[in-house]
Amino acid sequence: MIETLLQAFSYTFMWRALIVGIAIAISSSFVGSFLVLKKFSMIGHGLSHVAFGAVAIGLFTNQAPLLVAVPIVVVMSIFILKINDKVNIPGDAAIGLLAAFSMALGTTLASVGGGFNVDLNTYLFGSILTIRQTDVYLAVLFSVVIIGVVFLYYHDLFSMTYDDQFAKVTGIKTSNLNTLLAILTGITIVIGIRVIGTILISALIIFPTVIAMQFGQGFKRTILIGVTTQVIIVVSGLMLSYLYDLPSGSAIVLLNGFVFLAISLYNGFRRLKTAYEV
Amino acid sequence: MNALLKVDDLSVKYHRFFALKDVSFAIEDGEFIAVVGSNGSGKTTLIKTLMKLLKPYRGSVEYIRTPSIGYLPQHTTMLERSFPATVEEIVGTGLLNKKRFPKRLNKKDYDRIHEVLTYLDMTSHKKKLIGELSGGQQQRVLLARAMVSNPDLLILDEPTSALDQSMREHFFHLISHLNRDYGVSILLVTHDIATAGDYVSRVLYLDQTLKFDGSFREFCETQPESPFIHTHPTSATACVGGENQ
Repeated sequence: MIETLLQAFSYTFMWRALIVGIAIAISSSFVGSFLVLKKFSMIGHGLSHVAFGAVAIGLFTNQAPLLVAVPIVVVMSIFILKINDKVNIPGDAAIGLLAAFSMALGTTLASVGGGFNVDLNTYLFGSILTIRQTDVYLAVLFSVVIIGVVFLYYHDLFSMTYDDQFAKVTGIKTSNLNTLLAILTGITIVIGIRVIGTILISALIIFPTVIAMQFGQGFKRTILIGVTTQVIIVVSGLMLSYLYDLPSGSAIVLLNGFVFLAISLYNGFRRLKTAYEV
Repeated sequence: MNALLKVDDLSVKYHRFFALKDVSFAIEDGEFIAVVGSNGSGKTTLIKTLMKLLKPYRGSVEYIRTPSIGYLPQHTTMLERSFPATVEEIVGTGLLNKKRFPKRLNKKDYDRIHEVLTYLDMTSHKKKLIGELSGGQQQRVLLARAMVSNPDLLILDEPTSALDQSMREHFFHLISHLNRDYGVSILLVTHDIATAGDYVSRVLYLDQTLKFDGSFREFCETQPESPFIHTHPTSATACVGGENQ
């Protein structure tokens, strides 16, 4: 098995997958921390469906799918975030409508286009074989931007996440910051498509934070634990994907699920033990 | 005393409905004011307008000098036990209004956080998660967050609604010390005038318009038939107690 793994690193596609995988692990953990704790997790789910529709538009029009997807997903991300204030539709209903419409659009285009059905499947569940050099550049560039923005606005983002109204009172422009968060979320979703796939990418927004929360630490440490565990899980998932010829997205998400379950069970047993001792 | 802020003929509208109408008053340095009124009387609208979260429909809120406001929201809005944040991290967000981009907390800031937590007897909880604390302790953390920037005016929005009677008295005792020791002006929105009456220097009674502005004793003497007193019988008892003293 070790020999097979070592052999994997002689392939360019494996290196590309690892670089993109680590980039998406870092980006999704950073962005996800704020989204999950602001109770905006479902935005990721809705946007992943939008990304599917956007990729289909890209393939249908013979344009680079990810480059087409970035502006569409970012605009829709801002739209979902603002809809609560502007339109008389509850936020979760708006996400549901948009997700269903985008999936319908994607499948319709796939049906009309006929010839790109195979390609679309790799976008649905992720495939490390399809990652191109351009995807690597995009993933690294966008993740550097995301890390930079979170580093510069960390305190404002934290304050807004904990208590939006208090943040406003202290002069933080929460509306601008929410728009920034929506843009970062849209970008994260798109750069994750190649490795994780549009169907499963929302899991990578949620899992890092919920796994890190099991460690019972403060906000900054929760983000750092989320990033570290996610990098390990994504790299391990990619290895499993290579070894057993699994779709990379499925392998990574399943591994996340098992890690979350294992830590939750351990914490549960520990609490029971403490209660029993008392 | 110097005026801290002046509210002049303030009216605030939600769609066609006036939440506040022609309200005028001033807050002097070092005052401890209770804002009372039934649900929907405009109390929260008033403090949101003072904090510039809402815009006046007409009239004005004039701060005599650049405002430094500490804000303590309703306790029930903050009860998210699983939120992964330490006491120190939460109190630190109270200092962000004094920071410039890119905002960073330095050693002096952490010393100030420690100082405020010491004043509130909370230093031993500094590294604990907010969800590990009791309701009363969480309330003190949020008070520390409001106090940490040394505000001129502390706005408290029904801070004791989720606390039991002994914790309420302890809380009012604490903020009245803050008012006396540090000269911080306090604007307290409360239903609990029965407990707060012992501490405040002035009562504002709102029912869309400002129905009363004066001392607690005058409030008891002039407002016995007000809807607020009728719907809050403990207030009537407190007024009777106050007259007997």
